[in-house]
This record gives sequence, C-alpha cells and structure tokens, in this order.
Amino acid sequence: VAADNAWGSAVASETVANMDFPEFFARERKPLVRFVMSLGADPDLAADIAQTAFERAFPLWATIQYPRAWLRRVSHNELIRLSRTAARETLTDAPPDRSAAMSAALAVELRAQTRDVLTALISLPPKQRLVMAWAYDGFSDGEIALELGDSPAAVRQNHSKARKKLRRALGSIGRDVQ
Amino acid sequence: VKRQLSDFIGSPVTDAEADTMIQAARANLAGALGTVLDDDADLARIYARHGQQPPAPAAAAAGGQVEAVCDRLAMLEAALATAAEQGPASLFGIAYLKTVRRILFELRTGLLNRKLAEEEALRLLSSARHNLREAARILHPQQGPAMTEAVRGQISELHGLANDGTAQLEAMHHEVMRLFDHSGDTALIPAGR
Repeated sequence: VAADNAWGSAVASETVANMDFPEFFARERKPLVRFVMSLGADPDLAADIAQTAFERAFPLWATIQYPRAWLRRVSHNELIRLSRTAARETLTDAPPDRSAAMSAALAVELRAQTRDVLTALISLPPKQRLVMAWAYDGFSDGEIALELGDSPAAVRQNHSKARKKLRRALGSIGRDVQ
Repeated sequence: VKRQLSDFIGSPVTDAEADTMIQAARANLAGALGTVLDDDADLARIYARHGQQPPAPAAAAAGGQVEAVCDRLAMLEAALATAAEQGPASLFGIAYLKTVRRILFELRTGLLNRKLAEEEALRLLSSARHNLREAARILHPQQGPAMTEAVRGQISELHGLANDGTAQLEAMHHEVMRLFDHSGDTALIPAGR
C-alpha cells in the first residue's frame, strides 16, 4: 500500500484540479463511498471511511495535487487499519457501537441485480478486487500500478484475471440487462 | 459433467455485457447513495471539525439553470397529470403517461436536491422518452377501435401530448446534461447551490 503522503505521483486520470473543496466534496463523495464499498466495506463503514478521508484532506487541500487518487489511497489504508484493529479486538457480548442505519436504507434503494453485481465484485480475491475498484473509477493500469506500488505487468495480470472471473460470476446472474 | 455443471452455473457473459451490468449497478448505487447521504450536513461536519464555518450557499447562475430545467419538467408533469386524470381510465396508454409523470417527478426532485448522479439523470430521461414513445404508439388515433367521437378526440389529444412530450424531452437532453460537468460520472450540481 502506498504511503498516505505520497501524493506526488503522476495520475493522468485527475480531471478535477483547482476545484474548491465543497464542489469537490459534492462531486466525489459518493464515488468514494462506492469505491470503498467495492473493496468490501459495508455502506456505513464505507461512508465513515470516506468522511474520514475528506476530513484529512481538508487542511491539506491546497497541497494535494491529485485528490481523487489521494482520497482513494487514504481510504484504502484506513480500511486496512480498521480491519486490522477489528481483527485484534476480542469478542464480547457488547453490541456494536456503529449504526447500520445507512446500510438498511441503502438496501431498500438498490436493485436486486445491483446487489448481485456488488457481491460478484467483492467476491474477487483482494488484489483483483482492488485493481477493479481503481479501474472502474477511471484509472489506467499504469496509474493503478503507481498507486499500489506494483509493476504494470502485475496489475494487467490481476485486471485480466478479475475480468475473467467477473464475466463468469455475472453469467450466473443473468444476461437480462437493460 | 463439466459441461452440465457449466450449463447449470451459466455461461460467462461477454466483456461488453459485463461492463454494461457493472455500469448499471454503479449508476444504481450512485443514485441510491444520493438518497441516503446528506452532503450538506457531512460537509458542515468537516468544516466544524476544523473550527470553520461552511461557505454560504452560492446563488450561482448554475442554480438558476437548475431551476429553469426543473420548471420545464414541472410543466410537462402537470400536463401529463391533467391528461391522465381526464383521459379514459381504461386506456392502456394512460398507464405510460402516469409512469412518465412519476419518472419526471423523480428526475426533477433529484435535480432540485442536487442528489442525482449524471448516469441516473440520463437513465431517467431515457426511460421517460421511451415511455412517451410507447404511449404515442399505443394512443395512435388510427389504431383506436370503434369508439365515440369524444373518446377519439381525447385519444388524439393524448397522442399529441405524448409526441410533444417526447420532443420536449429530446430538446431538454442537452440542457440537463449541461447541469453536470462531463469530466466524471458523479453529480456535478454542487450541493448547496
């Protein structure tokens, strides 16, 4: 995982330079939540992580050159950190302190096929899932390689394997798309 | 056995089919997130966390453009509502007009609340046009069975309305798209405008 502060990489997919923070937030918050969900987080956790990433970006806004990539990198790192923390926690009888209200509300809004597609995406092995999350947000294999610190060949291979698995998984969902 | 298993599981979709399914899911998810996330409140939280006040909503020109588009959508909605109420309830085409009215309402409120992704707006526009075309096809005056002159006249008016509505929505397509910046797939009507 690339370091949070490595925001100097050349990311050609950035098309939002010079946008002010509120405008960028309005435009990019939902895609960022969607990105974190496609990494495997539930909607409430994804929204919390995206909010945290934006809170961290706020004081650094003038210095972040590629905010879309930066936010995704920070969000991914935060997801890993929270997953590790959760894994270290011991089991208790205490109820979880995080509300799942948004997940419940979102479940009502999503079509069945959307849920199936999301399930197919998060069923991919972690590295392939990660590559696809970046790819579907418009980043090229070369850019993804830079962000993940992998070789372009490794990213291409993961991308190709992921697409193959998705084609098979989506085939079992059905072809009756609009 | 392998083939039977493959048939049971389902054959893989093509790359293009997979992309279509995934893009549709992403659009649906973006639209759904727009209904459950509160951008204004969460943006205010960020500013508050750093001891600042969020910027005041700008009554920008873009806001006026949104209102103008929404006004036109509202007028079409009203015309459809009137037609649907006054037309013969048993007429199959009326159901299409009611569907279009519901879609336009969804589009208009999504635009007004700045909580609609571009893909979702496109989908709603496309769906509204499709339903209007279907209504126009079904309500074609020449296709009516034996009926009174009054009913024939009503059907003719509804047919005209469906055709006009289709033309209006086609003309509005670019206006709606101009409300979004085309550099991404997200709602570009900034929150709070």
